[in-house]
Amino acid sequence: MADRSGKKFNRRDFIKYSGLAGAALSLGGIAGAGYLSGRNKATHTGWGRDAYGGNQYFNRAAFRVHRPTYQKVGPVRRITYLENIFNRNGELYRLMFPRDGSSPQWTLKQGVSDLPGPLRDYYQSHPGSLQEFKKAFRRGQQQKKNWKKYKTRYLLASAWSAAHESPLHGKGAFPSEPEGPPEESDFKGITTEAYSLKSPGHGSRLIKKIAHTFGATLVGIAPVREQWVYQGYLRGVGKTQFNKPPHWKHAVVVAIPHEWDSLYANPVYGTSYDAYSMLNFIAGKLEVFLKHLGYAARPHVPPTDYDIAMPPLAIDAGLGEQGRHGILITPELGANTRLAAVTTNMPLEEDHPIDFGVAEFCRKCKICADQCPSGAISSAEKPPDVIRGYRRWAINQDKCFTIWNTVATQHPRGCRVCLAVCPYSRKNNWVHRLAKDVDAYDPTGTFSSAMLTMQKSFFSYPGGAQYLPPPNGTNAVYQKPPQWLKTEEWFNLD
Amino acid sequence: MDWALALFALLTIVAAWWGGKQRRQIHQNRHIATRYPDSLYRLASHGKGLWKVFPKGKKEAFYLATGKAQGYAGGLKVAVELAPEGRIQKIQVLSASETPSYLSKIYQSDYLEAFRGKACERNISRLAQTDGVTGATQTSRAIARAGEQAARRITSEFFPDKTAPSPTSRVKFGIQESILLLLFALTLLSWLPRLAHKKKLHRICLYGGLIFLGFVYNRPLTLTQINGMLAGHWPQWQHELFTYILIFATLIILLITGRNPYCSSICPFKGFQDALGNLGRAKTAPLYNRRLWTWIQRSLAWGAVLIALWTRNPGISDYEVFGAAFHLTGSRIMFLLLGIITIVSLFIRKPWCNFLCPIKPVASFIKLFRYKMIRTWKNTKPVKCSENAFCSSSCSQR
Amino acid sequence: MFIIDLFLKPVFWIIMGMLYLIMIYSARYWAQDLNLQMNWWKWLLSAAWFILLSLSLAGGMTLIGEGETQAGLYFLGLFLLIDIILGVGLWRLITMKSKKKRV
Repeated sequence: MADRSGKKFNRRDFIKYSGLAGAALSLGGIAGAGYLSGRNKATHTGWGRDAYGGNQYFNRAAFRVHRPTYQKVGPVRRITYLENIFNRNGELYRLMFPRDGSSPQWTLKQGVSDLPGPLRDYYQSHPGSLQEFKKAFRRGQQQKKNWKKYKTRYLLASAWSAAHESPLHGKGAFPSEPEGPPEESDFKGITTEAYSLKSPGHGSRLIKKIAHTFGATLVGIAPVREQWVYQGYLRGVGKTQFNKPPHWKHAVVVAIPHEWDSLYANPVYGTSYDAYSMLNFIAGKLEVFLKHLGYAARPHVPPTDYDIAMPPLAIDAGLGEQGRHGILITPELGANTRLAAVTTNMPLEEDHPIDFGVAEFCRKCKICADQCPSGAISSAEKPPDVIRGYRRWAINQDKCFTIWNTVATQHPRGCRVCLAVCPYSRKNNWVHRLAKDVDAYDPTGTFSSAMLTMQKSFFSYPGGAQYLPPPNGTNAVYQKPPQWLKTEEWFNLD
Repeated sequence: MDWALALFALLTIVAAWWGGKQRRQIHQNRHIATRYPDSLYRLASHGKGLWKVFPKGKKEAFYLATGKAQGYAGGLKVAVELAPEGRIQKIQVLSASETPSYLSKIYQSDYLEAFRGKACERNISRLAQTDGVTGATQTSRAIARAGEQAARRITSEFFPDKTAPSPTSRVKFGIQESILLLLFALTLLSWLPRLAHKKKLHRICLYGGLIFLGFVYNRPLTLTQINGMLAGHWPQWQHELFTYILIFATLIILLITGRNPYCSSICPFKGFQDALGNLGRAKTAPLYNRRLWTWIQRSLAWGAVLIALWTRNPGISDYEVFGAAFHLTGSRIMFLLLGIITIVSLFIRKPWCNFLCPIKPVASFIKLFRYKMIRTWKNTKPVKCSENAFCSSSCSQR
Repeated sequence: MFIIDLFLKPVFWIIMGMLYLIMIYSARYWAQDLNLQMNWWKWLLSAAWFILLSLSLAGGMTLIGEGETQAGLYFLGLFLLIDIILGVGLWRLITMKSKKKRV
């Protein structure tokens, strides 16, 4: 258009070039906004600013299924006492180091046949398991010696973990251990008659709101099925065979994440106790709250104070699905999901289980299996094992525990690398939210395959053994440790 | 001039090959010597990579052999100790140009321990097929294969009756190989004189190559493969029939017809650049010193061959971007180079083929020798060529 | 920090909106002056291309902001490459039609 009158910079050119500049500036602006969105700590789900349940954003209604996504393939039975690694290790420790100071009834030099009754039966039917315990024990001794070397570097991480751990044990522990049978302890402290709810729906909505204000990131309500209740040991009673008490009608399942920055710097900078102590507080407060309204309540909290297995309960409550690493994957928190529950007889409306495609994703991904320093996670195409009647992913507990005793921490307090590397464990910013949501709504799995290709080619992972201390590894962490956990940033070290 | 340079190149390549071989032998024995020092052992050699070892002191003599196999990123060399009664006593990795994280995974696991006590008449590589180390499957299998090779070295010499049955590998001829042969056939067809739809056929080959050899199977012809073979890493033909067809069909057609079928219409990366060039209406690079560029390209290829043969590690001198393009593996520099070539391809025709690709110089090198040979054979006066011999014989690529 | 807060606050997006407005307003003049025979689908494709470019930049930068610098750079590399190829293709599409009409 030739209305350019002379050399004057006319209106038309002005608009044209400011448009061009605008385009360039907008691209710069969007890049900056993207960068800051990535840096934004407020997108750390569960640790961000969004309280009052705003972090439970996923539209679960669209993914409701009538049946939970675990696969029943055979006769179902309950978890017995010794099937929990902490219980059987505890039994072995009590034999090796009797509390009354008497001479050991079993030592590492002895074998399976020297163990008393139930333990012997367990280890005879689980070949290699006792061997792995011995290995873990020896590694634990080495770990203690190693700590001198690593103490300075991981001092802050260790102190941070110890602080989180402190309310969990001993006299001041909250919530306190149940005393006596559930029929007594679950009703202890009730001061009023049960108030009549307008409807079970009202009950659910109220209790969820309250749980969110106590700090729960996710809340779901599940029926208590007897098949998930442990057998052989009941807190407050001791070793006993028991049936599910009738007043364990519903379970309020709460989930929160670990602090994200330290999670990504696992195994050496992370801890499990941050989430555990918060879950203890949330569940303990829920117990008090429910009892004040006149209903029975019993908290089931980490690290070991459970009478019910948590992951299947959370699946029933529609919080998520089980992943390859055996851990619950939720849409909001990924594998960075830690669980507690409160069983109650309050009339509540139960949630529905969901299926947002975890089974197919885990079949393809296998990042956790590749990264696991212990080799405890299967990299098979399908879950190879049938566990108490269900075909599902299950880790090798013994191997996993050996690595707890190997990594450069003060004492065996876990590894959590599988939680950190899981592609579902990401911030709630637009990129990851978009990826996770599109994947959930894509029935073909093409999108997740493309995302996985990028995940595996763009992101770098240290690789299994690197997470271990020298000589086998380099004390690697998945991502850089946060500044606030690095001792050298704050103290004079020389 | 060209001829002299070509002869010089050939001589240096042979020299590098020979030097690399000598170097490797010294190298090889050094690994053994550090692990079995003279002060503690007396080694009696029984042929290449095979020893009977007499530990000083009262201990019993045992057999020692080395074996090698291709791991994930490079060759692995393994030493096996066999006790006199024919059981594996120890297996250890001598040297590896393998990705370190895979190796450390092996060391961390009990994988090497698991071989101890295995009878030598069993195929230990078959044991390993089922339980490799998670996350280092290829490496663990390579160790097992190398171990089996070493064990067989010992048994065939000392316990002929106990030699493990050779792994009977079935020849793998499948859809990949069929497609490759089809592409070669179509290329030859498109060269027939007086054929209708010549151009269309050429396009079909090119984009067929791009889709199948590139995106679907990620198996283009690379100098690294050729270097590997020159350096002595011949893959088992039953498993790698595809590679053999690719290399030898190209070579044979090149020798018979004097035209390079791979570069003209099969190479997936040419297809890639061609597609981009068509999209951006790319032009031929306007260069005044084309010969200089050609010689830079040739020198690069020559250097890559020399380094690969001298170090016996073809991975070192790999500068081909195919891996980055089709397999999403490679160093950062590789991806950067790929990005640049992709963008340049939009505006200039086939920048990789014309300026960097090492396959083209190799092909013209072979063509030069073919030309010389034919001329000597016919014993005629040299044909006066408008350009030099290299160019005239590589006309087909233009 | 003010600068960081600004990016997360409405003011920033109001400014961005204004930039987009100027851009859209000027696009018409650019098309006229470059003799591009634009129509609705060409505008649509151009807008889609620009959105893709913006998202590529923002996505890569988000990953960098998260501390995943390597992943961010690869992401930027891949998607900007795709954007450039698509851009060249789009440019050809836009100019091709106009030439045919003029001939």
